[in-house]
Amino acid sequence: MLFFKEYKKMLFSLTFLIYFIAVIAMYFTQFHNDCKEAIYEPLPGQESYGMIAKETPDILMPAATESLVNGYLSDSYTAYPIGFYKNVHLSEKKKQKMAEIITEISGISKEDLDNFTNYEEGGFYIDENGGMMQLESNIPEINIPKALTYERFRELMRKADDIIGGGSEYSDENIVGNFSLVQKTYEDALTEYNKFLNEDKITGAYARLFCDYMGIVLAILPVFVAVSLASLDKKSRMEQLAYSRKISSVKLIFTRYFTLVVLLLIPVAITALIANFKVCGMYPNNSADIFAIFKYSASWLIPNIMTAAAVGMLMTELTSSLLAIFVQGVWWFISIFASANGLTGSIGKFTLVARHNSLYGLDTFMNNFNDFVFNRIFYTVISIIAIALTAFIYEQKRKGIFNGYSFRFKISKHKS
Amino acid sequence: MENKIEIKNVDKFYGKKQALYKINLTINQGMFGLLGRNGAGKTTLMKTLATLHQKKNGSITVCGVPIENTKEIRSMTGYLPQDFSMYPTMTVEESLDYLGILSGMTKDARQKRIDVLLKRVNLTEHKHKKVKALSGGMKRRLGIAQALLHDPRVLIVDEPTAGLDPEERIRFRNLLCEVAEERIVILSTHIVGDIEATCEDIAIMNNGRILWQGTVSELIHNTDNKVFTVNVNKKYLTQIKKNYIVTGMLVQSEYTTVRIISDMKPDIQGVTTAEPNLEDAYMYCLYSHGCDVSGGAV
Repeated sequence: MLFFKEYKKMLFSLTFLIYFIAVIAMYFTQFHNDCKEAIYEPLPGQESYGMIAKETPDILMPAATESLVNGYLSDSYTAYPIGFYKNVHLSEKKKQKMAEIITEISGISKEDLDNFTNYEEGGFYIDENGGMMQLESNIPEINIPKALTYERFRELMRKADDIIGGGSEYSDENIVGNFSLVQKTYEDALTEYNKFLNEDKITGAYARLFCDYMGIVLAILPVFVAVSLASLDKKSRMEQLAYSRKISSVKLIFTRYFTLVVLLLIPVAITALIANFKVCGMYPNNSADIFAIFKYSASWLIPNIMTAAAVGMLMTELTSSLLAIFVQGVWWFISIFASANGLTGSIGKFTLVARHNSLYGLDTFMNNFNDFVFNRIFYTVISIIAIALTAFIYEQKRKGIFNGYSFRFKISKHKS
Repeated sequence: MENKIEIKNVDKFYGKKQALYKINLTINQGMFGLLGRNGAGKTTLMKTLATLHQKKNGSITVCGVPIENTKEIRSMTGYLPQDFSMYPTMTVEESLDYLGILSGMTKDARQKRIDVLLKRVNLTEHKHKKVKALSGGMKRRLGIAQALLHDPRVLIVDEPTAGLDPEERIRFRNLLCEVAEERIVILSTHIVGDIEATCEDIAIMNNGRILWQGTVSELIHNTDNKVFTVNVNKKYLTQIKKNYIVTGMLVQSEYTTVRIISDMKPDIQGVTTAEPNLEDAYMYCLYSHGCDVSGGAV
């Protein structure tokens, strides 16, 4: 009964209305917009089937070596050590170590590297037709020693990654995707299409893309609704009336939280339903899994909603302020940037916003599946712990033991 | 189960600041008035009784139940805070229903009780009105209804008449007297008139201490032969205010009728002894306990 009362109380709030519109807008501007054309079966003899990352030493070794030489000459290496972009410059000691690696893989001595004065960085320029063209960088001639085995090369790349500080293009996780992109063959494209059709049952692939887009907004927007709900008693000068009732703090807070999560799921369920119709409509002759989007949404998106809502309720109870929005905003920002170096299958164990911005890459997703499961369970558990803590704080405030920490952005009382 | 509240040696601190000092009170069924200035500690004591504050020392039992048993205390206590409202977009009926759920009442019990209470507080016609559309007086009556919703044995009302017009105030006081026939009602106020019109048993608080406890007639009796009136020329007013507690002045052209409290009969020409009222007795109580009453009296 309390559930329905709380539900009605929140359903007609302005904050929820804004949240609802924002989630629907995200769906239509992103996912819906991406679903204009169906994926068709590849035909033999097509000009191109797109690119695919495939571990090919003949391609990977020269490309990675060239990139490493470029990095050395410009003393600039790109890395994402904790998920954030970082432009790394090496100390003299580390330069020495890097030069030794380059010498072994390219045959260029440190003296030649240091005395190379003709270096020009690569970049882009606009041609006569307005197209963006890549400039070749000017670097010393590379001759990969024939005696260098691929295994040794990869070992040296790991060392280079260590020297840079980890998370670089040369790490085991990134090297193939960065330096070994090859044209898909017809067979590659057909295998991928068959997986899309038979393993993903079409909607599975779209479900990942749907969750990728919706996960971004659902890791931040629920905090606004949660703060609005958690501050409603204070704003309405209703706090003491609620405090003095018989109901236990655990029951009240958990019911409010559960109601909030259910409410926040409404636009997700609506958009998932629309997406399902849309995708199934694009493939009228194929048998699609009509539950895939709902299954993915439940496991992928509910933890996002639970986490943002829990942060909103906990921080508001703790501080009686709008601090939760700031905290969640920072966390969201970090999480978005943490996944910026790989939008496909970028599902770390602790990344709040799990990314998979592609209709392909089922293998990548499945390779990370254990991390994905751990991640989602982790955030579900963290949310429940946060709400238990909220109930504890509420009980302390109810008894007058704790009055909340003081912050400047106070919630004003409702004036009527 | 005994129908009384017993407060023994209760201390309360806000951090290092002591708010209540060794409070001892026994409150029986019926209306009990807690009178004192703003900041005397009345609200702190009310909140402590409503389990919204924790005492530091001492003991409190409500109808035999220790105050530490918060769930049971909350189920037998109705509380109307000084500053309150309800969700502005809910209707009167919905608000009561919501609070009834928080009190653990069944749907049937809520429906029956809400109808009875709305009738009792004269809000039946307004039950579909949103809370934000209610007047101050209506909100106070709704406040009483919510406090009585779960039929509590104890009703705690903190400064309930503040901001009400005279008519609403009288109506509200009568309502409190009616409900006090069945339960303990503690009325905290700084308005002497509210106490005079409703309570027989009272306590006076100041600076976190109980200065006096007893019946209204006993308090007034303490001021027998200590209240005087005199007509004086305006030019002597300053001198009189300086020397005596003045509880009333009626200005009439050049002369002013002044009501004075004094242990001894004032040595002023034309002074006569007057019948003391509760306001005089309250002022004398504060004065006799060393409180500065000169500012309040004039």
